[in-house]
Amino acid sequence: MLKQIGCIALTASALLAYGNDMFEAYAINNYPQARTLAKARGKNDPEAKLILSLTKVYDKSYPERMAIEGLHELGDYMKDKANPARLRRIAALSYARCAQLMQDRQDIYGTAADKVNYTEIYKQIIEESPNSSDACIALFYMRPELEDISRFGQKFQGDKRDLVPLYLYAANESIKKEKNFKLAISYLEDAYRFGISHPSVRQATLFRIGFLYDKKLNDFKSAEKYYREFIQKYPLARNSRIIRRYMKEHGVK
Amino acid sequence: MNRLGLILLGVFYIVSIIMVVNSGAVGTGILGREKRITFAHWQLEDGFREGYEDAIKEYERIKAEQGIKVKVVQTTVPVRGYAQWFLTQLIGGDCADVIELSGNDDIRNQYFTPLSQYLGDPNPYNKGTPLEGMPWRDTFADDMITALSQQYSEYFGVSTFVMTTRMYVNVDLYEKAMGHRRMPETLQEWLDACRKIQEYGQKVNRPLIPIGVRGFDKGTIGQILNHYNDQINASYNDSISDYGYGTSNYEIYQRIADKDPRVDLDRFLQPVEITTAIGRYFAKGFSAIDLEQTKFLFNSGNVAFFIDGTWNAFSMVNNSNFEVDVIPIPSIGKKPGMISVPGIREGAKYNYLGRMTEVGGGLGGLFGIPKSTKHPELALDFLHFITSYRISQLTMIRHSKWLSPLKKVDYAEAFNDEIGKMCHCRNNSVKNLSPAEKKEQVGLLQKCRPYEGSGYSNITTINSIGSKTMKDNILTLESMIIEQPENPKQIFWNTIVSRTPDAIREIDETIITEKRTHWNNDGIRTAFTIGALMDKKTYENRIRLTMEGMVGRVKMLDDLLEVPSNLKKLEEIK
Repeated sequence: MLKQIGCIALTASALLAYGNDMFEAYAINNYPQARTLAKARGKNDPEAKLILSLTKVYDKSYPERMAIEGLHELGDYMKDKANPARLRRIAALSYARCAQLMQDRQDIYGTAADKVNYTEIYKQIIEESPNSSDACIALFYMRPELEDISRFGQKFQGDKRDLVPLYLYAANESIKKEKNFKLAISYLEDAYRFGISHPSVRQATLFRIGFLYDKKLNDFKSAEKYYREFIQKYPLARNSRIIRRYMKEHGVK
Repeated sequence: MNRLGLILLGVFYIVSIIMVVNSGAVGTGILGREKRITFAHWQLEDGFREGYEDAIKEYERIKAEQGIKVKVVQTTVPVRGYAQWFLTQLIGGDCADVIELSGNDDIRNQYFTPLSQYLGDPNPYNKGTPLEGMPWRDTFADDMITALSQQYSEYFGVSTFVMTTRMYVNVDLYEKAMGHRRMPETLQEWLDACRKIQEYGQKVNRPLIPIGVRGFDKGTIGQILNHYNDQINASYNDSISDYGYGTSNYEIYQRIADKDPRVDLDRFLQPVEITTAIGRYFAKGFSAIDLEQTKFLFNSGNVAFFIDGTWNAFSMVNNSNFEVDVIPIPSIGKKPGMISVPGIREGAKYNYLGRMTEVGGGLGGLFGIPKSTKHPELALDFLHFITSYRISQLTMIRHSKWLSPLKKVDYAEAFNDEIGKMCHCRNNSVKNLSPAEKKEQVGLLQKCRPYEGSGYSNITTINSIGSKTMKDNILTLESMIIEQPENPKQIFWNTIVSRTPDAIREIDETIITEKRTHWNNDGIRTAFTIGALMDKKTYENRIRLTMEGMVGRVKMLDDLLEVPSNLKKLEEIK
C-alpha cells in the first residue's frame, strides 16, 4: 500500500514539477531525463510511449539489444492508428532510418532489421505528406536518383528550404556519376536561391558555384557574379582572398 | 583561558561562515542584494587575467550606474587539469556562469545554453564603435563559422581571441653570429643563418641551438612540414577535387593511385626533404625536449630561433633578457616562382606559390553559458560585454598583446587614453605607456596579425592518413632528421606504402565511426523534430541545419568507402 502511494506521489510530483519538460529534455538529447519523465507519465501516454522507444534506439549508452527492442516498438507505434498522426510519422521516419542503419551494421545487429522494408516506409511518408519536411528527409535517406529529385522538387509545394539538402546531394551526385558540372551548378543555384540555413554551408555554396563555373566550365563571366557577391557578403573570409587571386588571374579588379 | 579560546573559536567560526557564503558560488552576496557571477578559464598567459580584472571592474561600474549591484569573480584553472575540472563542475551543477569551453559537442549540447537565438541582435556594448548595429554574429572576423557546432548545428560559445604561428628570434645572438640584424626572409637565408649560429657556437665554445624544437610532441616538425607543404602544394586546392575548392588526403591518394598526370608525387614529397634538411639545426636529442624545456633554453639565451603560436609572443619578448623579434617562418622565396635552395640539396628547386592567407582563421577561446547558471541574463550580458569592441581592445590587445577576433581592429587605438582609463592594474607597462612603448607594442601585434597572403590556403600533407599511421609517419620523419639519409623523399614514401595495411585498418575504423555519426545525426534530427512540437520556428531551422550538414557526411562516407582500394594500388618508388 505504502509502495503504491509512493509511486502515485512520485508520478504526480514528477508531472507537476516538469509538465511538458519531457519533450524539452528530449529536444536537447538529454535521454536519461526524458526517459525519467516519460516513465513518470506512464506507457499509456502516447507521447511518453514514443519518447521511451526513441531513447532506446538513439541512446548509445544502451546495449544493442535495446536498440533492436526500440526499433520494433517504433514499428508497432507507427502501425497503431490510435496514436496521433504527427507522432506516428515521427516514429515511421525513425523506424525506417534506424532499420536502414542497422542493416548496414550486420556485424552488430545481425539480421534483426532485415525484414524491415525501409524504402517502402520512406515512400509511404512521401505519399502521405508530400509537401512536408519529413518527405524531403525520407527522400534524402533513400539516396535517390537525380531524376527522382528533380521530379520531387518540381511537385513540392512546401517550404522550399526543406529541399536544400536534396539539391546539395544532387549536385554531388551529378559530379560523382556523370561529371556533369553544369547540372551540379544548377542544383547549387537552386539550393542557394531557396535559402541555405547552415551558415558555413551557405558561405561555401556561394563560393562553390563561382568556383565550378570558373575552374570546371571555364566560364569566368558567370563565375564573376557569384565571386563578387561572396566578396561583398564575406569581405574578411579567407575565400574572399582566394577569389581576389582568381580575379587577378583573369585580369579583373 | 579556556573561555577566551571558546570565544575565539566562535568568532572564527562565524567569520568563516561569512567568508564561505560570501565567496561561494551561491549566486548572491551575503546581504542578498548583490548579484554574483563567476567567470572561469585556463588562460594563465601574461596579461590575460589582468586584462579581465580591469574589464570586470569596468563592468561592475557600468552595472552599478544602472542600479544593479554585480560582483564578477574570475577563476583560473591550469590547462592540464582544466578538462576534468570543467566536466566535474558541469556535472555537479554548480558551474561558473561564463566559462571557457572544453570537451566535445555532446557535452556542450547537454550543458550549455544555445546562443543562436541571441546572435542576430546587435551587441549592446558596441554602441558608438565601428561595430554598432551589426548583429553579434557578424562582429566576428569569421562570421562565427569556427564557433558553430557542426554536429548540433548550434553555437554554444563565442570566440575571444585569434592566434597565428610565428618564429621568435634571439636578436642579440643572431647579430653576434651574423654581424647584422636583418632577419632571414627566405629558406636559404634561414639555413645560412642556422649554419653561422652553429659555427659561432663552436667559436665561442657554447652549445648553441640554432632552432629550438618542441620535439616531445613532434609539434615543430609538424609546423615546418605543414608550412613548406602549403607553399609548394596549395595550388592543388584549385584542381584536384571535382567537387570544389580544396582537397582531402583521400582525393590525393586516389589521384596518385590512378597515376593521374596532373598530380606530381615528388612535389608532395618535397616538404619532407626540406624538413629533413632543416632538422640538421635542431638540438641533439631534440626528440625528448618538450615545450617548457625549449622555452627555458630560449629564455636562457641558448636558442636562436623558436617556432610557436602567438599566445606566447608577449611572454617571450617580456621574459627574455635580450631583444626578441617576432618574424614569420621564412618562405621558400621572396616572390612566387621556381626557387633554387642549395642549402637543402645541391640542385634543389621548388615551385614557391607565396605566403599563405591567414585571415579569417585561428579564432579560439570560446566562452559559453552553462544552463545551470542562476543568472542567465546577466551571464549573457557579461558575454556581450567581453566580446565588445572596446573591451576586446582592453583585454586582448592592451593587456595580453593577443589578436582580437572582431572584424574591426585598430591596434593603435587600443593604446589610447580612452582604453587607458579602464586600466586599473598596477602594471605600468599597461597603464602608463610612453609613445615609444606604445609604438613597440603596436609593432609586436602587427607582426602577429593574420597575413592577407597570396590567396592560397592550407592543404593536407602526404602523410595525413589515419591518426596513428600519421603519427608513425611523423616518427619516420623524425628518424630521418636524426640519420640524415641521402634520399629522404623515397624513404618517406616507401614507408607510407609499407604502412598501407595499418592505414586500411584505421580507415575501416573511421568508416564505422562515420556510420555511427550518421546514426547520431539522425538522433539529433529526431530530437529537433520533437522540439518542433513545442517551438516550431526554432527547431525546424535546426532540423534544416542538421540535414544540410548531413550532405557532407554522406559524401564523406562514400569517399571513405573507396579509400582502401585506392591505398592498395599505391606503389613504392624504385
